[in-house]
Amino acid sequence: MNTPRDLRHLPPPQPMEIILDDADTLPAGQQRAYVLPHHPTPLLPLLQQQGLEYRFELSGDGGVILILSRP
Amino acid sequence: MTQAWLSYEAAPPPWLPGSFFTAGIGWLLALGLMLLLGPDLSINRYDPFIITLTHMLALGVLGNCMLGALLQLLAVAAGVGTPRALSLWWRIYPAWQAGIASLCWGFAHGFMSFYLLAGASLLGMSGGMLLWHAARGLWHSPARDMTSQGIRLALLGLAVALSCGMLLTLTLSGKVAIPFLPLLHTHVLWAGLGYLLSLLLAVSQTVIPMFLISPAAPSWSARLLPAQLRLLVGISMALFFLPASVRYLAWAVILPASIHAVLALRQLYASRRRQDPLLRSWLLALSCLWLAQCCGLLALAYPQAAVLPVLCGLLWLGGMGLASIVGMLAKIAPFLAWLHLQRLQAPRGMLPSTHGFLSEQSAARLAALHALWLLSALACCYWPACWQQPLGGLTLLLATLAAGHGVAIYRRYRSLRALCLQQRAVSN
Repeated sequence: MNTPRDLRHLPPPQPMEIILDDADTLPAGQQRAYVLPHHPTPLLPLLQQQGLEYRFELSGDGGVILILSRP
Repeated sequence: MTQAWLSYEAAPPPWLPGSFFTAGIGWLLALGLMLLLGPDLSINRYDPFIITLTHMLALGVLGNCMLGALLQLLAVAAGVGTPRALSLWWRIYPAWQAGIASLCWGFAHGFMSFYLLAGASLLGMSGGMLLWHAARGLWHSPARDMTSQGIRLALLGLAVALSCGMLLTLTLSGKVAIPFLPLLHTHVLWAGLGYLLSLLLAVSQTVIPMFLISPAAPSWSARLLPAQLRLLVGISMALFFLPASVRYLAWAVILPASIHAVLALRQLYASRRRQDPLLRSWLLALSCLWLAQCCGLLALAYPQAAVLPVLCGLLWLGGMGLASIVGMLAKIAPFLAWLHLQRLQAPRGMLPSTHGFLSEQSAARLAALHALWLLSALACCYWPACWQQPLGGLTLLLATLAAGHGVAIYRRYRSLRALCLQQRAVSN
């Protein structure tokens, strides 16, 4: 997994747009990570709609790391 | 993770919060008409016309907008869905609107007990339905973040405020004999601090860091709202049993809100979006919070100054409440439209950003008009004869501009939705 991309400086819905655009091109078996300011509740059903899997870790500085993968 | 997951099947459809926002604008229009066509204002908190206007603003404008935002936020922050949205709407919406109309009619016509009792019953029924829906959802929700906790406390505040309101109407109608002034003050405190402020602060915990790109409030601040509610319980008891101590307790009651305001100001200072209209609206809301608290404390010290409680109420409801709602709705409504279109699996690049639904300039114009409205309302407290008509006109203008923004967002949403559905049909 690459270094998580920090999206905390962007206003909504830009982080969601970036993640959804990236998700379109995510190859099977790969994963990508993003640092977000909070738990992205509205994004999760959209990711699931695209057949993606996700999990979370804490960034340690108040953020949340979203880790996306395509099975 | 403490936040809850929400399935789209259970997410509220856009018309559900939208219908409450629309009703809020409708009540603002009615408020403007009342100011233009109603009797002359008398700046006294016990004047029936002032009480009517206060309830139109508190329940009609702020109450509706907050109910709509609450239903949406319950879903987003706490995962409390609305799988049978139409049924929920029927249980809350008509009774809420009819209740406000009946209550205000009763106030405006010399405290007519039939209308007051009918209004309070309808509002109690509608509020009870909302509380039942929210409490059941929150009970099962794993969410324990600051927003969800704040919503829990705000709902408790709403329950107490509604109960006291119903008892007040029963007292006014002579059905029960409860000391009137302590009950009235308890009602005002729980409605203003227990419900309105708690909910605004809870919503701001999500909306402000998210849209203004500012750091989240420190985790210890989560203890402020519970502390405020405990103090409210204390001052409510004191109002009935130890009235001499109320003056000292009032200082303690405003402390948690003041600390919250300082923390919110620090968040604004650290914001990476200093030009955002939401920042100015939130700043105005915080300023009004402090000024209203000052007026409230001064009103305790100088009970003969009739203008002070009116100023306090105006700054609290029309200043802090309306500024927050104007600022936050200008962010939330376009974001909801965008999110619902995403749900239709719109092709990448088809959807505009949220500014494509409502530009920052439009939001800034609405916020500026609200600030002007507030100034004229403050002037009206001192020179009611000169300012009642201009205030009525500005109220109508504010409602018309807000309605115009709502229509613009809806039309953009509808045309994009048609495009999305067309694209989906083609690709299928």
